[in-house]
Amino acid sequence: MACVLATTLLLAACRASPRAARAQVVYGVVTQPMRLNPITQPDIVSRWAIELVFDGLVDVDDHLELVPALATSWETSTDGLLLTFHLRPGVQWHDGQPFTSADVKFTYDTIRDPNAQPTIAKSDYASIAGIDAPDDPTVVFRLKYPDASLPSKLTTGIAPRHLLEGQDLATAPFNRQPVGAGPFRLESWQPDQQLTFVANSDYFGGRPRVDRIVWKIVPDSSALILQLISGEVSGAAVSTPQDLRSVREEPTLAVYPVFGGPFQISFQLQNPLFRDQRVRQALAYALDKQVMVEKLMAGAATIATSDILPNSWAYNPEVNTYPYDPSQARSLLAQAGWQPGADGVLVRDGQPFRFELITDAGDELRRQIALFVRQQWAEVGIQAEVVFVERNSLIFERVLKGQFEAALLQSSVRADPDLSRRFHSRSIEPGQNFLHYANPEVDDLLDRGLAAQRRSERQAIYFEVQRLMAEDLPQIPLFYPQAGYAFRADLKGIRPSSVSPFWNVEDWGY
Amino acid sequence: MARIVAGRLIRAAPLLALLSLISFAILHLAPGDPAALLYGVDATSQDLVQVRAHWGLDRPLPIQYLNWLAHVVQGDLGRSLVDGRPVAEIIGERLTATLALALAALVLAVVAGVGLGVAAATHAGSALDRLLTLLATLSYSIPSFWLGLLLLLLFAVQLRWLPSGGLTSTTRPSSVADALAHLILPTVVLSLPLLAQFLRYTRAGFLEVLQQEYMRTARAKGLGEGAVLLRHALRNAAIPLITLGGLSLPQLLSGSAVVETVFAWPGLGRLLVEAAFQRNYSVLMGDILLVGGLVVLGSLVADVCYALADPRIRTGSS
Repeated sequence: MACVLATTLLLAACRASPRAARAQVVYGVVTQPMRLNPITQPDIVSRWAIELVFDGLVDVDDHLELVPALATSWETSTDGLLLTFHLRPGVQWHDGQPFTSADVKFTYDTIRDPNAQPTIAKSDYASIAGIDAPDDPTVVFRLKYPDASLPSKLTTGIAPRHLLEGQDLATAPFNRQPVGAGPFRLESWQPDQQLTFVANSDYFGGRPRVDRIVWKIVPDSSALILQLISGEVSGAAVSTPQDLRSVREEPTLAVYPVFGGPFQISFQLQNPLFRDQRVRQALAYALDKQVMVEKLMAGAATIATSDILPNSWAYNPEVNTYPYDPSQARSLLAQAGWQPGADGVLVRDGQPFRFELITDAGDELRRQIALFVRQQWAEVGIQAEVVFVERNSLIFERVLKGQFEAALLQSSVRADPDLSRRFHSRSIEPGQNFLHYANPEVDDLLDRGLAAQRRSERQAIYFEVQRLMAEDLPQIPLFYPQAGYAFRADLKGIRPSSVSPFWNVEDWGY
Repeated sequence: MARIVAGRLIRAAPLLALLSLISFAILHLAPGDPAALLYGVDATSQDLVQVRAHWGLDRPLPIQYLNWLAHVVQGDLGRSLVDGRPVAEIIGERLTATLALALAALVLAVVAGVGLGVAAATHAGSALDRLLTLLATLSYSIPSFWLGLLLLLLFAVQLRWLPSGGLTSTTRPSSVADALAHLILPTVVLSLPLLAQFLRYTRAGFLEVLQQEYMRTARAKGLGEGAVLLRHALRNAAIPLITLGGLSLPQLLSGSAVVETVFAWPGLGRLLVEAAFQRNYSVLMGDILLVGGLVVLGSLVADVCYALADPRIRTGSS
C-alpha cells in the first residue's frame, strides 16, 4: 500500500513538472554569435541564431531539398535567365510592418553591393544581374547566366528595409536587436551568458510550439556534455565520437546523427610533387580509410567519395574510393618515376618525396588523422611532415592564399551539388579553388550542371563529375564524419539537416 | 603615506604606456588578419582592402598606435572590430562577473588559508599538519580545468546539488540564492591554489614567530592564547601574506580563462581569449590596458597594507 502510494506520488511529481521548464528549450553552444544580422552573418553560430529570428525565401530540409519559406513557389524561365518568386501574403515583421518584395530586393542588393561591407559571401550571388520587385508579392532575379544552384543559396534571412536602409552595417544597433519575420523574437542578450528568444505568436506558419528558446553559452565542450546529461541544457551539437558515445548511453537524451562535410586532403596542384595523377592515386591507395573510420571515429563515419553528401539526390555511390592497397601505391609511384632512396624515402631526379601536411592546431581529431596519414604514407616511402597551424591562420593565411603543399581539411556542407566554387578553373582567382585545379572536362560539366533545369538531367551530370574527379583526385576524400545533435528525448519534431538543426524549429514541441 | 601613493600613481602612467606599446607591436606583428576573419572564407581581396581601410588597419603601425593612444588619453578605448560596440562597454559587461568571482576566491583563500595555516602551525608535526600539507600540495598541483570538470561531474551531474555553470539559471527567475549557488564551484576551483599558498605561508610564518622571545613575553604577561595568536603572532607573520595577496590580485582580477571557460562564467579571461582568436585588436588592447592597470593597483594596495601592518614602513624610519 505504502509502495503504491509512493509510486503514485512519484508519478504525480513527474507529471507536475513546471510548465515553464517544459515550454522552453535550452540550447547549448560553445561561442556566442557575433552579429544577428542576416546580411552580415559571418560564422555558423550567428547563422543558426539568425534562423530563429529571420526567414529566407526558401529553406533546406533534412534531405537537402528546398522547401518554401517566405516564398510559396518559384519558377525559372525557359532560357534559365529569370527566376521568379511568389511571396507569402500577409507576413509581418516583428514590429508590425508588412513584409514585401522590396525587403527581398533590399537584402540581396545590399549583399551584392561592392561598397557595402561587411556582408556575407558576395561570390555566392555572382550570377545575379539584377533584382526587380514588380509588385509587393513578386520578386524577379535576372541572371547573367543560368544558375540552377541559386535557389538553394536564397536561404539567407530577409532583412527589413525600413530598419536597415542607410545604416552602417558594421556598427548598426540592429545587429544586437534584430527584427525579423521568423518564428522567434530576440528578447534579451546577456553577453557571453545567454540569448533568450520568445515565440512570435503572429508567425505565418502558426505560433511555434515552444514558448522560449534560450541559447546558453557554455564555452567548454566537456562541460557542455555534462550539462546535457544533468538536464541543464536540453539540446546541443555533439561532434566527437567519444561525446556521441557518452550521450547515447543516456536514456533521457535522443541523438540525431547527421553527416558532416568530408575530411579530405587537399593538394596544391601547382606543386610538381602532386602534378601526376598516378601520384595522387598512389597517395590515396596508401591510406586505409576503413581503419580511420573504425579506430579514429569509432565507426561513426562513412568513407567519402567527394564533397557531395551521401544523403544528397546528386550523390554517386559508384565511384572509386581507393581501398587500401600499399603495393598498388608503390607500383603507381614507380611508374611515375619515384624510386626508393637510401633511407627508404622515394627519390626522383635526386629530389626526395618530402612535403608539409598542414592542419588545424586546436583539434584533437585532426591531429590523430594527420599523424595516422603521415605514418601510412611513410610506409610507402613518402615523407610528410605534419605542421599544426592555429585555425584562423591556417584558413586565411595558408589555405586560401594557396600557401601550402598539402592540407588536411574538412569541406563545408552545401545543399546544392554544384562544385564550381572549389573546383572550377574560373574560381582560382578570385575564388576558393585554392587547389588550382583546372580540368576542362570538369569545367564543362560544372557549367552544364548549372544550366540544366531538370533534376534528372542535373543528377546525370553530377554523377559524371564525381566519377571524373574520383579518377583525377585533386583532393583525397577520407570520410564523412557523423556529427550529431543530442536533445531531451521528450522534445519532439527535431529533424536536423547537415546544414542546420533549426530549419523547422517552429515544429519542435513537448 | 599619501606621498607613497601619489608617487606610485605618477610612475604608473609611463609604465602603462610602455606596456601598451609593446603589446600593440606584438599583436600587430603576429600573423592573422581581422579583416579576413570578419568576412569569412568567401572574401575577395577587394573586400579585405575595404574592411582594412574602414578600420584604419591599412595605415602604418606607428600612426595606428599614436591614433589609438590619442583616443585612450581622452578616455575612448575604441570600438570592437567584430560588432562595432564600444570597447569600454564590452569590458564593463565582463568586469562585474570577474570582480565577483575574484573577490569571493580571495576571501575564501585568505580566511580558510590563514585559518588552516594557523591550525597546522600550532599542531606542527601532528597528523592534522601532515594531512593539511598533503592537501595543500595536491590543490596547488591539480590542473584547474580537470578539477573543475571533476567537481561538475560530482556536484552537478551525480548529486545535482549545484548548478554547473553560468551566472544564474536559465529556467528559474534569478535570485540572490540562485546567484550564490552558481558562484560556489568556480570560487572553490579558482581559490584552491591560492588557498594552498596562504596555508603554507601562514604555517611557515607562524612557526617562525612562535619561537620569538616576544611571544614568550606576551604569554608571560598573562595574555590568553587567542589574544597571543591574533594580536602578536598574526600581525608579525602577516608581511609575506600581504605580498602574496598583492601578487595574486592582478591574476585574480584579470580573470582566469580556464575557470571561466569550464564554468561558463562571462568574465574578462574568456573575453581576452576570444578577442585573441578573432584578432579583435581594439578589445585586446583595452583588456590589456585594464589588466596592466590592475597589476599596478594590486601592488599599490599591497604596499599600503605593508605600511599599515608595519609601523617602520609607515613612518619611513628604518
